[in-house]
Amino acid sequence: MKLKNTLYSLTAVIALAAVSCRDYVEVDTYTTRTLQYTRDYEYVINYKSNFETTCVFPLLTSDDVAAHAGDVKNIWYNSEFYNAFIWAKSYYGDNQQDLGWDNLYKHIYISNQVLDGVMESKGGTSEHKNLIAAEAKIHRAFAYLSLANQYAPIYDPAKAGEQQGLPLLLKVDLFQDLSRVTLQKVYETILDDVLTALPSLPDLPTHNYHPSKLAAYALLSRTYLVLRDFNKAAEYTDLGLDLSQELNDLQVYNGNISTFPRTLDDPEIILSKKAATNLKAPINEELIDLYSEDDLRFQMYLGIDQYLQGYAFLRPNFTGQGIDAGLRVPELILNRAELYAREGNAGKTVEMLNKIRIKRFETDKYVPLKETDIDKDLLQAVIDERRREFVGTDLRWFDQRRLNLDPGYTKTVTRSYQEQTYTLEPNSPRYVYPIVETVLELNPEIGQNPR
Amino acid sequence: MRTQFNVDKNFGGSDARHNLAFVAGAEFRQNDYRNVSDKYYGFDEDTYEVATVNPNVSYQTIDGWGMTIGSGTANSRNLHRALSYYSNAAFSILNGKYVLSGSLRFDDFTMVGASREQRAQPLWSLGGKWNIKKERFMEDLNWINTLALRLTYGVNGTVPMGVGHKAVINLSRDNDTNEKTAYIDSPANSTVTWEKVKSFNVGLDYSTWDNRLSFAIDYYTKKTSDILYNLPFNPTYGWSRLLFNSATMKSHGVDLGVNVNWFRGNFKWNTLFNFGYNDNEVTDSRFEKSDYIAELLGGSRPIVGLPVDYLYAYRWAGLDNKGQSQIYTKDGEILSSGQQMNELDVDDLRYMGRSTPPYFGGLMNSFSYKNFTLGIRLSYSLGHVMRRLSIQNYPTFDGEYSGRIGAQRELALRWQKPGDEAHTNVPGITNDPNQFNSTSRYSNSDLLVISGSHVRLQQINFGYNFPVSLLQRTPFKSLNITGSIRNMGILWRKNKDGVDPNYRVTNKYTNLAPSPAFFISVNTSL
Repeated sequence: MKLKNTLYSLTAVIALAAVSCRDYVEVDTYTTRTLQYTRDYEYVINYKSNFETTCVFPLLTSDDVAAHAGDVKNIWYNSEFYNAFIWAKSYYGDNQQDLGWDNLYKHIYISNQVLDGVMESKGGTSEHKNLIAAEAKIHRAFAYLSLANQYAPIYDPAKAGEQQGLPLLLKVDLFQDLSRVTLQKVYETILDDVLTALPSLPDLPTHNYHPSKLAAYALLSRTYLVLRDFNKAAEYTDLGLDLSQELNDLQVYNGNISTFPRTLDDPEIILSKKAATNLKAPINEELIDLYSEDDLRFQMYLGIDQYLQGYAFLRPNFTGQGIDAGLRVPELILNRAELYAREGNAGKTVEMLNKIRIKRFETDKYVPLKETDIDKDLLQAVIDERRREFVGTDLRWFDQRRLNLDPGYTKTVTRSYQEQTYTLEPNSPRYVYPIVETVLELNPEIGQNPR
Repeated sequence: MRTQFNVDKNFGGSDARHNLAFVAGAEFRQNDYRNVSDKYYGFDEDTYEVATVNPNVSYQTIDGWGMTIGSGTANSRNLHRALSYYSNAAFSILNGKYVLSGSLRFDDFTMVGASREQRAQPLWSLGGKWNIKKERFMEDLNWINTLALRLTYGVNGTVPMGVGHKAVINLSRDNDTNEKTAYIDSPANSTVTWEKVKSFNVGLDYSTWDNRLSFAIDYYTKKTSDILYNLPFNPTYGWSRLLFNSATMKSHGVDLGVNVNWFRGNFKWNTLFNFGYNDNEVTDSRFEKSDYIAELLGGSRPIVGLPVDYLYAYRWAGLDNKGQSQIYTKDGEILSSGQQMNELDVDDLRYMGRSTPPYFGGLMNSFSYKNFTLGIRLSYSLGHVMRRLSIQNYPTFDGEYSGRIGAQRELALRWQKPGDEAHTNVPGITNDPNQFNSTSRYSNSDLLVISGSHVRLQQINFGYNFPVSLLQRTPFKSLNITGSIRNMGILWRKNKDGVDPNYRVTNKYTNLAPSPAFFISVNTSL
C-alpha cells in the first residue's frame, strides 16, 4: 500500500514537471514585448516623444538674445547657460551631461533600432515597412543636420572633405567606433537618407509629428541652403511649396490668443519638434528695431518684461507646448525668398515676402512691399524678414553660421557679462560648440573642437 | 500551485542509526495584475453626476493663454509567471555523528527580451557536518559539551534585470491622436549574463562549562564573478547607463557568535555577542583602471585591487579670493574652479577608505530576576568612511531647483566677501559659470569625508510575567506584560560633526533617522 502511494505521488510530480516546462513562462505580457511585428515598429514611430525634443543652446548663442541678458539677476539657474551665452571655452562642468547632444543621438539610436529590424519584421506589407523605414530615416537625417550645425564646423564646400564632422552611427552596435567622419560624409548621409526615404512617404502627414514628402522637401531645402547648392535648394523648395503654403492669419488670434491652434492642429507645422527647454531671455534691441509698430508679430510674439529689462518671447505661452524647433511652412517660403534674392530676382523676392507678411499684419493696415523698397540689398531684406519671423527659435543660429560664407553679412556680436565684454567675430572657431567632457572621457577618439 | 515529494526514513539495522530526509518539489505560479483609473471633473454630490469635458479643446487660463485638460484615464494589465524546481536532501549517519546535506534549485520566470540562459540557471549547495563530540575519543571529555565542525560550499547568483538579449519596448497610446505608441525600454545587450557567487564556509561550534559558554566561529570566502553594474555609458550610443557584467571579486570574512550564560539561578544573565569582519577586493575588471574621474568619485565602477565600496575624494586646497573651491593635484599644484576636468587625472584623487563597515555586529544582554525580564541590545559598525553632506541645492545644479537653498547650518558660514577665505571653507553663492565645479568639488573633497564608525542602542525591552499563584482567582491562565523602546539612536560615534552615519539628512528631508518608538503589549490566555 505504502509503495503504491509513493509510486502515485512520484508519477504526479514527474508529470507536473514535464508539463511545466520552460514554455510556460514565455508568455506575452500585456504592455512590454520585444520588437517582432511590423506594427511594433510602427508604434515606435508613432510615439512622438521618441523624436520630439531637440536641443537648447542655439537659442542662447544666437544674436536674438540681448547683449545684457547674462547680467539680469538670476535669469538662468544653470551655469552651462551662462557659459553658452558668452561662447565660453567649455560649457559644462565636471560631471554634467549635454542635453542637446544626448537627445539628438537618442533620436539617431531609435531610428537605427527601427531600421535594424523593420524590413524583416513579421505581419506587414512591404509598403508599410518602407513607410516606417522612411519615417525613421527622416528623423535620423534631421538629427544629424541639427548636430552638424552645432558641434561641427561651418560647412564650406571647398573644405568639407577635410573638415572634422561627427561620429556617424548608422547601425545598432553598442560598441562601435566613434571616430568622427568628414563633414562631407555626414552631409552625404543626410541627403542619402532623405532622398531614399522620399518615394515611400505620403504627400502630407496624418499628424504633423509624422514625416511626409512635405517634410522631406523642407529638410532638403534647409540642407541644400547649408550646402550652398542653391539650384537644388530651389528645386526642392518649389516641390514643397506645391504641397502646402498654409499660414496662420495672426489677425484672427489677436486679442483671442487662447484659441491659437495647438501643435497638432497648427497648419504651419510641417514636422513637429520642440526645443529642450523654454528659454527665458530678453530679445536683442537691434531685432526689436526691425519690427514696425503694426507688425502683429511684434504685438503678439513679444512683450515687455520688467524683470528681464527688455522684451520677452511670448509665443511658447500661446498653447504652453514649448518652442517650435522643427520644420515649418514660413521657413519654406522664406527659403524661397532667399533663393530668389541670391539670383537677383527682385520681383519674385518681394512676392514671397509679401506672401508671409500679409498674414502677419492686419489686412486693412498692410502696405505691401515694393521692389524699390528692397532692391538695394535683396539678401539683407530677406535676412531681416527671417529674423522677424523666426525670433526666439533655433533657426537664427543656423542662419548666422552659414551667412559667414557670404562676406559682409556677418557682423561681430558683442555681449557683456559681469563687466567683461565677449565678442563673436565672423568665422570664429566659437561658432562650433564644445563637446561635453563626459562624452570625450568615455570615447576620446571623438576629439574636442578647437576653440 | 506546488507539488512536493517528501521522504523521511530511518534505516541501518535494528537501532536505526541512519536517517535520510529528502524533499523534492515543483511550483508554478501566475500573477495577473490589472489597474483602471480615471479622472472626473465637476462632481456633484447631490446628483452623483460628473461634467462632460473635451480633453483636447483649449480653454483660456487666468493669464489669457490657451491650455487643454488632457486625458485622465489609465488602464493597465500585466501577466507574469514563474516556475521553480527544488530539492533538498540530508543524510545523517551513526546517530548524527556525520551529516551530509545538499540542495538544488532551478527558477525560471517571465522576463521579456531575455534568452533562456539569461533567465534561469541551476543553483546548488553541498554541506557536511562532523559532530566531533559524538566520537568515541571525545566521550570522556566532560568539560566539552558540544564540538562540531561544519563545511559548506554553494553556488548562487543574481539575474540581470532590466536588460535583455533583445530590445524591449513598452506599449501605450497617444491621448491626442489615439495612435498606438511604444518607447524603447532597454536596448539589446547580448553580453549580459548571470552574476554568480561561489561561497565556501567552514565553521566550528563549541560549548563548554556545562553549556554556559558557547561560541560558533565561521570563516567564509566568496568569489563573485560577472558582477552586474549599471555603468555610465556614452550617450552618443543612445543610452547613458547600461547594465554590464563588469568584474570579478573575492571576499572573505569571519563571523563569531559568543553566548555566555553568566548566572542561571533566580537571577539570570545571558550575553550574546556577535562580531563580523568582511573584506573584499576586485580581482578582475572588464574595464581597465578608470581614467574616468566622475566614476571614481561616484564609486560606480569596480577597480582592480580595490574593494567594491571604495571612496575617493578631491584634495581640498581651500577657497580662492572669489569664494570658489580649489583642489590640489598630486604634485601639490592648485587647480581653480575655472579649470576643467580635463586638467585632472585619477591620480589627483585621494583614496579615503571603504564605505561599508568592515567590522560589525551586536551585543545583547538579557537579565531576568524571578518574574522580571530586561534586555538591552546594541549594534555597532566600525572602520568605514562616508561623505558628510554640507551645502546643497546651490542655484546652479542642473535639473531641479526647488526654490529654496537647503537648511544646513553651514550656509551661515559660507564665503561672502574677499578675505573670508581665510576662515571658512564653505564656497560662496554666485551665479557664475564656475559655480557647478565650485560646489561639486567642495562636496566631493576630502574635507567632507568623515569616519562612519558608531555604536547604536537598538532596543531595550522589559517585561513582567505574572506568576500563576497570583492568577488563580482570575479568569486568566497566564498574563504577561512587555514593553520595549526601539531606535534609541546613537550611543557613540567617531565623527565630530554629529552626523548619523546611517541616515544622511538631505535637503529634501527624505532620509531622517527613525524616531524612538515605544511599545507596550499585554499577552494573556483564558
